[in-house]
Amino acid sequence: MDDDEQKGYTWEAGYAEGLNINEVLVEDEGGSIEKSIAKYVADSKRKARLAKRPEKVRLGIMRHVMIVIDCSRFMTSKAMPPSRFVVVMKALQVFLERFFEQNPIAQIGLITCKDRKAERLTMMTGNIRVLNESLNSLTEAFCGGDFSLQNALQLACANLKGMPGHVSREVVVVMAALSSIDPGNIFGTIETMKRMNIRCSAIGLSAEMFICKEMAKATKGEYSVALDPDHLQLLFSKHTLPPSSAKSSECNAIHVGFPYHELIKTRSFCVCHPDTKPISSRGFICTQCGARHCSIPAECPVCKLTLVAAPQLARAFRHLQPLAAFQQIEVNKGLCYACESRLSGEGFRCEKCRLVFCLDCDTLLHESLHVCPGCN
Amino acid sequence: MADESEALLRVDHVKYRKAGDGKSPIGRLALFSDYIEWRDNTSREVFNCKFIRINGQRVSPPHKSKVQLQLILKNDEQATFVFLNPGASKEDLVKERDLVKEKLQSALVQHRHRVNELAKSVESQSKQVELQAKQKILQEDRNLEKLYQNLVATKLITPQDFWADYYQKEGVSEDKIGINGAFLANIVQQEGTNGVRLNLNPEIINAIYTTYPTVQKKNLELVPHEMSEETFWKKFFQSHYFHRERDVLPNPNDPFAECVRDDDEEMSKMSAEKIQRKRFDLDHIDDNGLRDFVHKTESLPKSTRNTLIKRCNYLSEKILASSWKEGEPSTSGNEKRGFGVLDRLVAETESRLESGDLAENETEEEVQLVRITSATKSSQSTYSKKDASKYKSVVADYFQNWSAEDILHKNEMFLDQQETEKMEMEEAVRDDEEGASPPESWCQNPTELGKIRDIHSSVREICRQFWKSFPPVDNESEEKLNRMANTLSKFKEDHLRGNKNIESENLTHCLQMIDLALQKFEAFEIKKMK
Repeated sequence: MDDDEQKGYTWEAGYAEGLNINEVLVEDEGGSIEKSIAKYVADSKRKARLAKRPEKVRLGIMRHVMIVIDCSRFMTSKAMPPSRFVVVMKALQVFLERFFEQNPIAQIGLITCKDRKAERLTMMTGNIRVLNESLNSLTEAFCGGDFSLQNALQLACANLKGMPGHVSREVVVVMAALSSIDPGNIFGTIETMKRMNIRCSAIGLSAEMFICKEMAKATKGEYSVALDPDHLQLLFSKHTLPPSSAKSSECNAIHVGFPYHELIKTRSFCVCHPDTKPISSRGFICTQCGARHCSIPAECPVCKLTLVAAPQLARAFRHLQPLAAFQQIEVNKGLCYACESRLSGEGFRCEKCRLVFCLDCDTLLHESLHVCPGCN
Repeated sequence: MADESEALLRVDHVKYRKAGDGKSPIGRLALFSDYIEWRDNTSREVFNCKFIRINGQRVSPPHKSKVQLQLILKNDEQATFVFLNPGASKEDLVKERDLVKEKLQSALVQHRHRVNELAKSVESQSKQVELQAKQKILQEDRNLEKLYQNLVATKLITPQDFWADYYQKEGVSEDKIGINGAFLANIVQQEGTNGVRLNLNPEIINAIYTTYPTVQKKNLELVPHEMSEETFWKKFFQSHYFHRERDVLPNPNDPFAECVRDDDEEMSKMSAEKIQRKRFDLDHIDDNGLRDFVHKTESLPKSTRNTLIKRCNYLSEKILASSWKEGEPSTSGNEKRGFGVLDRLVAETESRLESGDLAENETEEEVQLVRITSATKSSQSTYSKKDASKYKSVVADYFQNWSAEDILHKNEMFLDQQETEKMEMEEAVRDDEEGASPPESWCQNPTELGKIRDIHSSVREICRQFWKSFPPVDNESEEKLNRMANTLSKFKEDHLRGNKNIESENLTHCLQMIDLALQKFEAFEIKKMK
């Protein structure tokens, strides 16, 4: 009986054990838990790399994503140095680049939420330059007031309403606020998003909130809280992967144009630089209406036809059949099959051809090349 | 402007005390929603007073023998009515008069409310706002203005079509804002000489009205007739609303004294409305069966903080209630106020036998499988020895002769927007003989170039309107399609073919675009006829 009184009830110990609190958040001598957080982030990176991505599953490749940026006073907090706002802006720029690389025919729009009002910063566009310019126009001085999740979601909904059914509609909310001041019933708004098949995800910067969790759960989105800037980048990069499309979304055949990159001999202005002149004498002529473009992929503003190059569409294949994760094994001798450097400690082995690669080659193969040199 | 509706109240045997000579006549008093009227029984005299003229009303004190009601009008005039029903006792007369007073008061309040709303809506008339916004858009974007002048002014495109794309009312911003729970605490305070200065702005006042509708009613009643705005708000902040601890005595000068009563009533109503949480309802799962039989001696200790806590809770409930009543109706049928709306969520949680947090993370996503046959994948071919060595030598050669300058040459494989632009920028520095000449060399001077540019943009805009109405789904869009096709051919004839001022070479691209559109239209017509 004495023992029990000291340790507490047995069911308590069993519960705490399962949560692994003492293992995950280890305090070091100074009482800080920074090291354990860094370890946790590195662990999640490793898990993300080793995660088995679903194969041969229908994906939403034509994605229309609205990104909601919290511009409330909580963003000026210095909890993430130099300030949350600066960290988020940097992460967003990296994210936009990676996103358009992986999803050439997707479009992104930006919404800011300041002082309980939501405003659209940029319309849906596939032009990364416009998006970067808009992001640069936001300053930390602009942030203030409170955050309203309902207004942000309603604005995103209004912008996504007009999209055709085969498009995958998503909202990503970057939220630092700890409260949401809403003009009405937010649960009703979440029901609306669910009904319209809009996938709402959230990335928190301060603490986990019940309402974000509910929203993500109801609309099949993802919600996690970033622990430090690296973890924030990792969470953003999870959104570059196209989500699997729900059973209910329609599948139509979409009209797409494949223009040639040709030398244009007629005197013409291009649609992307109406005030000056086209960048070069080579360009693309829209196959349907004849308008001139300087680069693709683009959506022709005259006839709304999607113009892509075949290699860009073929990139979608890498998501449909992703390169399977390699198994991590211990090796002490031998050379990496790809770069012929000596292996020491850890190696990654392809399941099919049983060849071993080093860490750098494994990262390169999974992030850029998407083929295993040993299997082909 | 007579109110068509029925009178709200009619009272007989009311004497109207006229100033001046003669006996005061007896007649009937009738109360309408916009005015009050008294008709003489005998003569045809009518006293009609619109509510706008009424400042307030007064009643005679109870100890006086006569039961009177006095209206105070704007120009310091007064109108007095005496209630003289011969059959009724004095108490009945007093009741009658009080009834008139109450009804008149509420009618006055509603009337003033309506007037205020009307004033507000006149200011923000949506049509006006829209026009101004459109003008602003045109001012800010010169290109758009030129387009507007060229196309809409010349009736090539209707204004509706034009603005449908460039002026968006929806999807730009969401303006309805909720109320911050700390809005009273956040009011900016400044230490003045005799106390504290509070800065009020319309937003805070609006928040107060939405949270406490009784305050709004009081404001309509009292301001600006009995006291000024400033006095009203001074009394407000001195009252219990600013979370004061002390109990408020019903002070006749304090307009908020009766609000205390109403609020207390509502508070007790709200706390009676509980949420059913079976698992956390200690009374429900209590094991102590004898509790009912035990005399409960201890009641809640009457702590001094109770009032303050109750009032803070009441504030939160009112804020939530205001936001909930504005929004869409709850998915459950009955309208519940306050935290009762969470009942549905609670019921869902309670009915689950397992906790969501502790459950394993099962990914049971609905996925649709895609069949990828081997034919679509890249073929793995094995080359013959001769071919293999040939290919290897090509690659080896390439790498041997590789130099840094090779990067600058055009490489057909780069089609990403960023890489293309980078390379084309470097290329643009060099002269390119083969393609079309740059726009500067097309004509003599910048103004002509400007005109050419305008024509190009106009053509692009008309083509855009054309392609927007393709394919037509109903009669309206078919009409528009025909209209746009006509516009295109007209434009072609007028501006492009017959244009003497501009070299035809500069307009070739425009002709190409129009021809493509017309071809598509012809094909569509042919298909329609089949």
